[in-house]
Amino acid sequence: MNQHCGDDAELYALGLTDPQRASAIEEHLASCEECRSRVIAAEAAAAALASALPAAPAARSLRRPQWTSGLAAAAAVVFAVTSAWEGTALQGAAQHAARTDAALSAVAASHFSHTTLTSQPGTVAKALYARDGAWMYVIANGVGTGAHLILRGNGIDRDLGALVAGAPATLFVRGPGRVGEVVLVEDGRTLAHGVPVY
Amino acid sequence: MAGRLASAELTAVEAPEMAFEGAGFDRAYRAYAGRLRAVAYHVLRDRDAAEDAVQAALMRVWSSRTYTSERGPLLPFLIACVRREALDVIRGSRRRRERELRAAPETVVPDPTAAIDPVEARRVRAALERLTPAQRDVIVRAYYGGATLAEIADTTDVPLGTIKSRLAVALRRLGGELSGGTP
Repeated sequence: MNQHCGDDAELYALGLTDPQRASAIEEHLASCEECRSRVIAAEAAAAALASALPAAPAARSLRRPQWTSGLAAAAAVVFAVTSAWEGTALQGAAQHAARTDAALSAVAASHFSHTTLTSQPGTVAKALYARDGAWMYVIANGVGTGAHLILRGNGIDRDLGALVAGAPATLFVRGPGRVGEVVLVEDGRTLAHGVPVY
Repeated sequence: MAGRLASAELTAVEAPEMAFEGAGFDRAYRAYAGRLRAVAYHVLRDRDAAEDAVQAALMRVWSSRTYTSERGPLLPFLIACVRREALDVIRGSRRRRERELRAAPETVVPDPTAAIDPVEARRVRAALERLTPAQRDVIVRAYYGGATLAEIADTTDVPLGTIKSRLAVALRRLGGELSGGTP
């Protein structure tokens, strides 16, 4: 792909090239400084146009789009949680932000995986966890304030404490090690459970 | 290119940090999500679909590992990615949209007082006013009206090729007005 972009540089920055042409342009940009400069300038102008748009309303619910890969899934969960938090009341916002920071930093810094927990009707829960057992991040919708995270392994149940209430409720745990089973319990009732694969 | 070779050896999870070169993926999302959602929402008119488009675009950027600082500032790059994603989504439901567009009143520049960035919006509005009426019209139709090039050609009765070059020239000139022009 050696051909310069021409006017397509501006059309690409506006999203008006079809997907095939867009891919060809992206490939070309990797090796052509001239077209790259032109696209960067066009994107700056398009971004200025975007600043005149009104704000969008927040999404209605915790979204769970395509779980195509561990990375994408984890990214999506973190995005969804972050955006869900943006919509929550000011109360607890700082705490939410601090939890997001801890979780995102850990996710960004290590190899991780995720598992959707088998849940009771009305509950949706996931666990993201470092493959080396360094951390675990549990996210749950539809749980009450008394939901506890139990990590089961070697015949021992460890109660890691209550999930921090919110929509969704979450709990970030450092250093759980590799666990046999993740269980969410409320009032002696199992809400959700799943087995991490390390 | 050395940079690309190096990043290809990284695992998918290590890549984002490399890709965003210290800007930090999380910080980028937290700082820009509002703007990105506005871009997607303007195209899709559905808050959940908009959130999905933002996530999908960012996931693509994050996992493709192609972004480096030489590709330009991050926010304009992400805005363009999100808008492409949103437009790709509605291509599937183009027929429905065409009906909506036909029913829609004349497209106008959004009101700066309601804008995510009122100061920048006023600057953009002033810059748009310095373009020729034809240039301004094609930008407003394409960006704020969300019309495709073919739709613009159709409604204005101007050849498609002319619309393409006019829009490209208009955006370049707008960029010039915004970066160098005094109000």
